[in-house]
Amino acid sequence: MCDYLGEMAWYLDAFFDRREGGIELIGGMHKWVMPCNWKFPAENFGGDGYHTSWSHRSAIDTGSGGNFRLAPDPLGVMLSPGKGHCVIGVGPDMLADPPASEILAYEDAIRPEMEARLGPRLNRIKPIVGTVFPNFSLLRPTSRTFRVWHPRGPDKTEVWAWVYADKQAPPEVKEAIRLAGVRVFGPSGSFEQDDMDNWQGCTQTGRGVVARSYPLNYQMGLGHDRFDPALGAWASEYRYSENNHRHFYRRWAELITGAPWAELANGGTREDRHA
Amino acid sequence: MRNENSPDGGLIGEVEQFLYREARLLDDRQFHEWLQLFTDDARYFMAGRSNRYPQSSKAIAILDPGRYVESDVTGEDELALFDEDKTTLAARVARLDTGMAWAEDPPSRTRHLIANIEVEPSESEVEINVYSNFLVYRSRAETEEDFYVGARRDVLRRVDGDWKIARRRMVLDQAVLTAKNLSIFF
Repeated sequence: MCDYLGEMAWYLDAFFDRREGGIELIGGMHKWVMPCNWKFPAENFGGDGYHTSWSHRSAIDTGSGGNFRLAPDPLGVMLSPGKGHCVIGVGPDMLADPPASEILAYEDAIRPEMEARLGPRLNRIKPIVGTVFPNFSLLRPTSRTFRVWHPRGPDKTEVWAWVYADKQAPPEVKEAIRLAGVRVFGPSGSFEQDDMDNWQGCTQTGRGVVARSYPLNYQMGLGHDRFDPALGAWASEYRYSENNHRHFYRRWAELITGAPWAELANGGTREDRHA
Repeated sequence: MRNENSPDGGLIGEVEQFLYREARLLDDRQFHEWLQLFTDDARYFMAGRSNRYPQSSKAIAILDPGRYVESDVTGEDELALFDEDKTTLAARVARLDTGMAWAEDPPSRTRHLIANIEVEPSESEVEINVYSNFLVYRSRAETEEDFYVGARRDVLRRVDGDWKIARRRMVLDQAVLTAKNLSIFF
């Protein structure tokens, strides 16, 4: 497992191992079927920092998101720790939590404990969303959720989504996270319901006669990324970049060549070898 | 069979008309008017269901019967499909007015069919319990279709002579929701 995750393991810790005792699930889960290819939600969580202020503007402007998502974030980056894994990070002092007073106060209070557990990298970057290659995604700012995108054919995906909280979080924080998980994400979520529509649109458009005759353009930020040893990942120069998309699809392309796992396990790209 | 606690036909008819009018407001996308049907302290909750064996099933071995939860309905402290108060319901309606609520742009075409209406008295003089079932058809874009089927248990409260919804507890009868979203109201 640690070989498969590589440096992504630290980024998972930044979601799941922030405090002694780790996390626990809120009871129940969301399962639903979306008419889209599984790769669209996977890449969306992996690197689509630029859809937020357009796709989710309606929810942000009516109070379920918090205005911080529209604020400039000069320290934000797209991070690829290798082997197709992807993380979006914001500056260490950017707000990145559901805008509930209980949660914001709690996050301030646990910061010293988090820094002690996770180390100085937290002062460089705050991981907020990501995808463990290929189809496991996690999210911090709108609700604390992780989910698996189960492919059910080329244009159908079944989501299994959980909401979680730090085991040690007080009851009022867990309740605020539960409510954010119902109201903002999941099938009725004021954010996520618009995502599903986008992914369906991408899938339908991608299957069109004209779209199939051209390569999809993933050039945003091309050449503007570098390996950052302190972050243990290939990092984009800007908050908005398709750097992560390129890492995700490069890894996917390697794996579907059918080469033996022994050749593929450590990643075939120069970036992944480096990482 | 009828006893003295049964609501009279006049009350039942009144409640039916209330629920049918509510359904018409939703299908006509009169969401601001619909919002007025709720009390200020309303809770609007929709549970999902899960695929579970009954405790008595011989198909499985339950290692710790004391911890086994037989109910297949999402609890009120769990990850529901909706859990709203009047403020967050109003925010959902306001979101639809922004011109950027993409899941409803273009809007769903809905038809709310309400059936199996039962009225029972409650412990409060100004409140009644109302059970109903719903079958909601949603057509969207060119050929998308969804059916949402479930049950509601409402608490209606008499406020200044009008019925208002003080509690709405719903159950949607799918373990895996086959619709891509719940961007409409129930």
